[in-house]
Amino acid sequence: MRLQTFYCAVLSVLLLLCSAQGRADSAEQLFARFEPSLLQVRVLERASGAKAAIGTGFVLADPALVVTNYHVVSEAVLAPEKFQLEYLNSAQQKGALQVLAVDVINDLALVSTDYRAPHPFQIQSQKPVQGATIYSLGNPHDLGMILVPGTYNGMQKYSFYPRIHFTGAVNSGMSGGPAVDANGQVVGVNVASAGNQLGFLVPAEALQRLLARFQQEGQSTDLRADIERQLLASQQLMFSQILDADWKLKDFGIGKVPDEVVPFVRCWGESNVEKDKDPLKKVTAFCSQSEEIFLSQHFTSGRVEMQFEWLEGKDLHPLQFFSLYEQNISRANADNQALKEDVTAFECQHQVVQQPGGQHTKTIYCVRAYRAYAGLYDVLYLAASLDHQQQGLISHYTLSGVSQDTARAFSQKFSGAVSWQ
Amino acid sequence: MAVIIEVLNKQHKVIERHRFGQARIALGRAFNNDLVLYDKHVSPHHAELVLSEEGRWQLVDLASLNGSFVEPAVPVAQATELQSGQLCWLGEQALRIYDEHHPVPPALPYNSLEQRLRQFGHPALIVLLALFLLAQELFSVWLNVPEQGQSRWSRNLLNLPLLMLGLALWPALLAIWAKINQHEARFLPQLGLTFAVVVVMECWQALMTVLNFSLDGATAVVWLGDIGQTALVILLLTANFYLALQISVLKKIALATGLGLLLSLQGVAVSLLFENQNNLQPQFDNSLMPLTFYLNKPVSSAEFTKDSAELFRLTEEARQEPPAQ
Repeated sequence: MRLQTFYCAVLSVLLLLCSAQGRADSAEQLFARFEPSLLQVRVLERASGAKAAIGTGFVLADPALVVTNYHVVSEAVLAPEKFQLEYLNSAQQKGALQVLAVDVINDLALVSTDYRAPHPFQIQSQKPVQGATIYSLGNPHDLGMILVPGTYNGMQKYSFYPRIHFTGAVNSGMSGGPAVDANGQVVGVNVASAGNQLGFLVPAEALQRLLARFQQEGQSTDLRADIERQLLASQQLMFSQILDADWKLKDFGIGKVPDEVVPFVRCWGESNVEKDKDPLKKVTAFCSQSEEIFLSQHFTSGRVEMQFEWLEGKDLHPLQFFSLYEQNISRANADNQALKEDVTAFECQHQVVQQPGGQHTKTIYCVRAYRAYAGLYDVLYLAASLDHQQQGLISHYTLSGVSQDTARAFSQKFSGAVSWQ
Repeated sequence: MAVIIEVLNKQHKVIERHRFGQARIALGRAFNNDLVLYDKHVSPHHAELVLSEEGRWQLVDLASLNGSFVEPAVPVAQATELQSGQLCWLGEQALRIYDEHHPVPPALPYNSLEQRLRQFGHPALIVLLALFLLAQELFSVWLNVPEQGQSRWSRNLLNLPLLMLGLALWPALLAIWAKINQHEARFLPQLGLTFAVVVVMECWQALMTVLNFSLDGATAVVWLGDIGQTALVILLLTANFYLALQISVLKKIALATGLGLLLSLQGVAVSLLFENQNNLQPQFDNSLMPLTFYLNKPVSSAEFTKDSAELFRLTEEARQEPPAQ
């Protein structure tokens, strides 16, 4: 019996060694073969010549292009007079890069170069199987090109913007680098990380779509106009899903509010009911998306967020209750990041509104426009019920990067969904 | 002919007035003078006022240490003739000499406004106003229930005496100013006036808060609130200056208006600067009150959505303009 166990142990150790040896070999070979096809993409400030941002890019076979993330090259796209692009290859050679086409929704950019790599990358048209080992390549924190083995864990479940869930470390600077299967074929593009060993990749199909469009239309003459079109189309697609969905409602205080209306909007909740001392019982439910669209360093878009708050006073005079109630609606703000250069100031209207069910709300609606992208707006809505002396329901949502039509349609659907006695 | 001598302080305010019938008047610090002066730079036997044969008064310096001067600043070397109403100095001690026929201004009637303002100094009224202010403070402490923590009463009650003291600072300052200028201090009337106006201001603010909610934060209400507040400040300052300063009524009103406008303009300037910094934050009226306080007719949600088209139009317009730096 003991001998059997011993043999088993020896066998398994040998097996482990063999497999480790085999994997290391193939990873080594992969890296050696493809290292010359990996470039460090650098955004240089024209005035100082210093690096403003770095990322990774990889050379494709056909057409002879470099692929990277839009967020790596965004500064050179939006302010070409201030920033220029440069690559640095494994032989420490430098050269100029020029952005040809972008896809902001999937955070991809196609860049032209005079550099020709000996073994350019090919795109894998089939998805890997769940659990397959894939390798992410890139230059983290400007420390040099590295290879990170990890696991393909399917598509991220709750995201409107398709992303591969990669179990492996993707660090900043690796953005734009390829993730390849054991044969060295590209299955995705490094894009983001959510902490320890939790990485996200843009799937290869998105890259193939962008390449197909590029081959059809050629180099873009106006990247900003492209971005504007992409944003408008994306919000329309996303909101058609949200608006067509059958919104499940849940009981909330004395009313009903929407729950997770589509899979990519996730809801959480909290309350202070266990704290007896609070003069105000407060129950909160909030729903939002984990992903957003990167537009520039301080400007993001493409998110829906909803929030519901149920307040109930304990032995408060109505005036006391309303004074507390008022404080709870004073801090509403946009959900996405933006600077003065990106958006106009909010224009707001506030009024007491009689809802279709006969109830009254103080309703606040604010809109701001995107300066660079015509027809896109951020919208903020807030309604506080006024019919009860000691109870209040606050319903609130923000939409970022929507058209006026989308905003109107969402507003109608939302008002119809929230109800209370 | 009799002579009138006014003893003046450094600000040329009259502190004593004497009338002498004799033809020679001795002036100095020694006790055997006709007019005994106090200033330490005046010599014991400093000067004399002498009636000349022509019936005019002359100043004669008695070889004093610091000398004598007549208006504008002429040293008295020998007997110098004085005009009625002329200033002269023994050292630094200013005197004004009048002959007895010098005309005096007509009597002032009692000032009814001043009388009325002084009635604000009635202790009972002040106590009443103070109680009213306390009640208002207690109401606001009661209204603003903290979300957590129970110690609001003790802490806020301790603040109340401090608040009342703070309100008494302004009248105290005015009283000190008046005192420095040799007027009546009139602290109690100033205190009563200040309390009264603060009470009215608080009531005005409460009214505006209700109006703001009931008229959906209409711009007119915001303006009305600000204008009312400024008017009250100007009213208080005018009344304060009326009691404390000895300048013409027009000047008092101008000074009070100027100061009041400056104070409220400063508020506007601060809010403008502040708004500019935070213009990414949505600005909306968040006032919430029970529905009974609402005066407007609620709009339907369809109307509200229709109105929102205007917001899109406005931001579209703003989009065309470059962002403010």
